[in-house]
Amino acid sequence: MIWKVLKNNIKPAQLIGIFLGITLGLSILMVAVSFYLDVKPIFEDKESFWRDEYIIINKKIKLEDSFLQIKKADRKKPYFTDKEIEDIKNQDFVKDVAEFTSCSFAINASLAIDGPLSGFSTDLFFEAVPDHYVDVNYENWNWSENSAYIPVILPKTYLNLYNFGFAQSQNLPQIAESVAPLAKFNVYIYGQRKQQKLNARIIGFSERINTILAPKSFVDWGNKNFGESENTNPGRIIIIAKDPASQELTEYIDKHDYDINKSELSNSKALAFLKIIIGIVVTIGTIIIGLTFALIILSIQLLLQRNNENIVKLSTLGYSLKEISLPYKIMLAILFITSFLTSIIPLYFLRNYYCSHLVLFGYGSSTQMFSHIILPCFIVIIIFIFLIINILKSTIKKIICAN
Amino acid sequence: MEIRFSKIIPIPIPESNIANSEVWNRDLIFKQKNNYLIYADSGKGKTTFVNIILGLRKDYTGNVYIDEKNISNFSINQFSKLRKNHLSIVPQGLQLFSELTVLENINIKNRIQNFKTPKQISEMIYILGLNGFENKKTAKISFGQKQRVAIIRALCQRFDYILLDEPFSHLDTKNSEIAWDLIKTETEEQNASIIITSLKNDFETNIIKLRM
Repeated sequence: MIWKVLKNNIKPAQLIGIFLGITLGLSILMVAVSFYLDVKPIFEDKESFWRDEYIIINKKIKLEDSFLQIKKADRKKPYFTDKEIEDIKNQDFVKDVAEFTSCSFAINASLAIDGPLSGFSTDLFFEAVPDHYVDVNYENWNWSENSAYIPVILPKTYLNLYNFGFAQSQNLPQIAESVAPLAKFNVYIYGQRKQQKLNARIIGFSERINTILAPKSFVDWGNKNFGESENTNPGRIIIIAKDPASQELTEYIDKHDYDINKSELSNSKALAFLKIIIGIVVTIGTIIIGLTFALIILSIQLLLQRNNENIVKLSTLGYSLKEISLPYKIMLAILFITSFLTSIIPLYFLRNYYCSHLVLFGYGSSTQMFSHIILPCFIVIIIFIFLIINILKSTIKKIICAN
Repeated sequence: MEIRFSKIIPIPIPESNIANSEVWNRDLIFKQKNNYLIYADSGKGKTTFVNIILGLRKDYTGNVYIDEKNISNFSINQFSKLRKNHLSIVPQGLQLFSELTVLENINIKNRIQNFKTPKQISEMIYILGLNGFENKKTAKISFGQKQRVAIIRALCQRFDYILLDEPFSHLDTKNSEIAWDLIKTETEEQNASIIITSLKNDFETNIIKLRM
């Protein structure tokens, strides 16, 4: 019966507005948080061999460099001087710099004779980077003179070139990525008028680094024992950038006429933009919820002021503050819980939609929808309800005391 | 329960109204089982007096004590307990809910303590001549009928004092007498007191009369 008295002046349009506001705000917030949590592992993928902030730059090979090298016997290659490396290290956007170590000895690789590709032989090169830049999940990434084989990482593009170019045209068997590590090959290294036969094995493929990597210990050993060149300065280096998408980095590289894999940079930029977009969406969701929250408070205060007279009458009859506020509390709780439950529906469908796309990229959704999204949002809603109920009670108290 | 007034002067009342008053700026004690008539012309502060006891007005100097507790220190919950269990009221403005029916207006009070049975309520409605109007919205009945609804409503609770602020102003003599008898019977049954305000000093002799 108290409700009959207190429900006066409640406008259904106002309730629908509040309901839509909370539902919309919560839906946006929950979808954004859910998307962020689902996509975050991709940003922080420890399994990927080459991390986002690693950028490889090299000296641009200009036309005159080519002519000089063709004409002159020493064939001096453009390389980064110690001063240039120091300058790069001192830039604000650079966390660290690592050098590529090239082989200064000749390498020839041929497949073991018992396989289907027996007799396949090619000249080769190796490069090395400090071991900690090669992710730890490559367990066998070490070499010593006693090792049974040299572990090698190839660019994925080489495998594709072979499978879809070479194997097709030469009628050779195609090789699956998982099978490649089983193939052993012989490596002959030449230099300082010596030669040595070693075994090698492909232990992985990299999508992001465009070179043939061998452990640094091997390249250093080879350069020492078979190396023909004194120069150890690198032709290309790895920059560990604070923010790969930063404008300063791009400007610096352009200014010094260095070469960079643009797609790599744009990939980093895309990831950075994605983070910004998610941030914006979360902010919009929060703003909508904040505005709805303000709308609710204003609507409640307006409603209570309109019902001022009846609230005072009830209080005069002996109804307590608790009894007078209870119907409003129930109304607000129903409103919030209904909005919350309704906002789970778009969350469910939108999450299914984007997850189906993530699966195409090879990523599953690892987030537990209940414990990571629904439960925290529910806790936020409960906090909101308590806050609003407190405001409601203090407004009713003011109305009663003012009379 | 005892109500003590200690030199109460309502701030809005002009000083000329206070000088000869037997209520304002006096030390007064209202004792349970005695009945009191506060009479005065309009504008002397009869409604203010009732509202001060109920804790609805605080714009006065002096102190009001209920069982020797100063009501100016009462919390909102203490006042609601006081109104729920000890003080009943028929306000001058009646304060009925126009959107509720006669019966609903009575029940909204009765449900707090479930003090009267539906049969007892029907009897009171019958005694005060409101039978047939039970399901009418109070917005649709006369002021005299509304006064009777407010009287029945005030009797639907346990009380130590019933405060009646000009309760019969729109009732004829016959209906006033019936209502007064009903109120007196109920008050005696509850060992309670009546504090009634009126424009006239024409009540029976068995009542303490105070000029405001």
